[in-house]
Amino acid sequence: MAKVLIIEDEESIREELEILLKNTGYEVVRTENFINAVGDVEAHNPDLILLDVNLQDYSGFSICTGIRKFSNVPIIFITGRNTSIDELQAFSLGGDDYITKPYHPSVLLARISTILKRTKNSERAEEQILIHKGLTLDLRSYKFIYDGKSEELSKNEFKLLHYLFQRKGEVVPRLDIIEYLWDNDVFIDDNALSVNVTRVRSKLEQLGVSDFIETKRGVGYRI
Amino acid sequence: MVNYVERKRYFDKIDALMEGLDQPYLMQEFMDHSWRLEDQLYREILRRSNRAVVERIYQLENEQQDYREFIEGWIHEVKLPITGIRLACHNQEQDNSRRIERYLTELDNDVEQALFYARSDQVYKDYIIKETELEAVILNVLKKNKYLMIQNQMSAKVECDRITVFSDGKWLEFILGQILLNAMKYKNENGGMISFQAETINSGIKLTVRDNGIGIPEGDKARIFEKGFTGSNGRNRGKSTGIGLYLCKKLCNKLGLEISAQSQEGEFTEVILLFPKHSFLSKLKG
Repeated sequence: MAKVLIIEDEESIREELEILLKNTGYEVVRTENFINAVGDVEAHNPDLILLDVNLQDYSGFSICTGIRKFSNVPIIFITGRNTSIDELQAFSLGGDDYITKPYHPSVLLARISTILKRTKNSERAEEQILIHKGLTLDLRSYKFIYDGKSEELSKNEFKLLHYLFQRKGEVVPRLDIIEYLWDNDVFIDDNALSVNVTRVRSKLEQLGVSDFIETKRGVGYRI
Repeated sequence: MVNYVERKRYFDKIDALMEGLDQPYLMQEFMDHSWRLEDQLYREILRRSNRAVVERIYQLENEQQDYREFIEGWIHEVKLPITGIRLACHNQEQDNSRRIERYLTELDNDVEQALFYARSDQVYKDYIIKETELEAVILNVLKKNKYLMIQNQMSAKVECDRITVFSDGKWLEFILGQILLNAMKYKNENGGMISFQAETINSGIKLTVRDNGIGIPEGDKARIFEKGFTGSNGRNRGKSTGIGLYLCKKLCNKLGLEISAQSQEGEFTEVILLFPKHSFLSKLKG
């Protein structure tokens, strides 16, 4: 489990951030004493740091400089300011990313996981193959395989099926699916979702699988 | 007679000088010395009067600057609670918070518009021109407006083939955001589709943003980029401030982009951005 250190002076935001990260499965530590923020980094040895730029009397930039003297831990700057000068400075001081408030939680989480993947890739390779009810979803080739036969999926169909695999056994609301697809660069509406499900079903039938995706009318789908 | 010719020459010179000046109120600084006491007296009166005007201008400029700084500061303040609410929504159970997130996106967009409006005269102080992938900018805009788009039954298509432009990502994101919001405002009753398509043409990169909305009435087409122009669509739907496209045009001018629009009423609207090819940059690259 990756450990994230939050350095943010706005208490309410710090608390919400902590909940968000914990819900996503990160271990969270935080610092409230900004004089000793650099010391906290040494003590906790986090995998990633979220660092606010404006901290009461302190500047996130100078804390970053302090951290960079002894550590290459990824640092994501979070700031209410969005001028180009700030952004340049963030990167020139060794920041790894720069996000402006009001950021979107899903965007923030995506950036965090991208950076962690890059820095911790050896630790835990993601599973590349998912299996459910005899059907195999191969994340490398965008294919699904049943009984030795395989069928290729379009990007949209693949993302859709991948999400259902992640929540197998659950009835997944349509809106959840649509939002997941938007987070993953597939920008479709409700009608297009039905179309995509139908396409996946017909591909499944070609492999001889029927009733793999159950429709819960007015609610969503379940596999 | 001699006197007349001499005086005419004197005033013609002053006239010509006046024509050539950027700021005619600085006239007095450039006037030739005249030996006539009367001229000297008038010149002194001019000088004092102009100085008063210049002082007044400075004062107004300062006030305006203060106001702009206040607005910018205020916007940064208001972003804090927006961030807090957004995180809280995300951490809560889904259905209610989805509705709140949608309003939040609207609020966020309005605040953003105010910020960019306040800054629009000073773009030159705040941009970084660098190679920017169009697709990345567009994806950001779409995700930012996710809740608003989904609840408005919108869908989107992006075809940019890894095309890059030399521009400032933050300003570009704002411009595209305004175009997107417009498309959403003027969509058809039952949903809508917006597509972003980039292509390389002779004079640069062309980005076409097309929607299948209600379109722009023929009589309004010429004026859509004017400040405060809402058009008959805006009046009918009562949602328009007439600022979005005006700001787009203004910022495009500052960033050296061309912006234009085409539309067929009841069929589609297309906003076209043209990123001109910069010869010195292609030389550097090639």
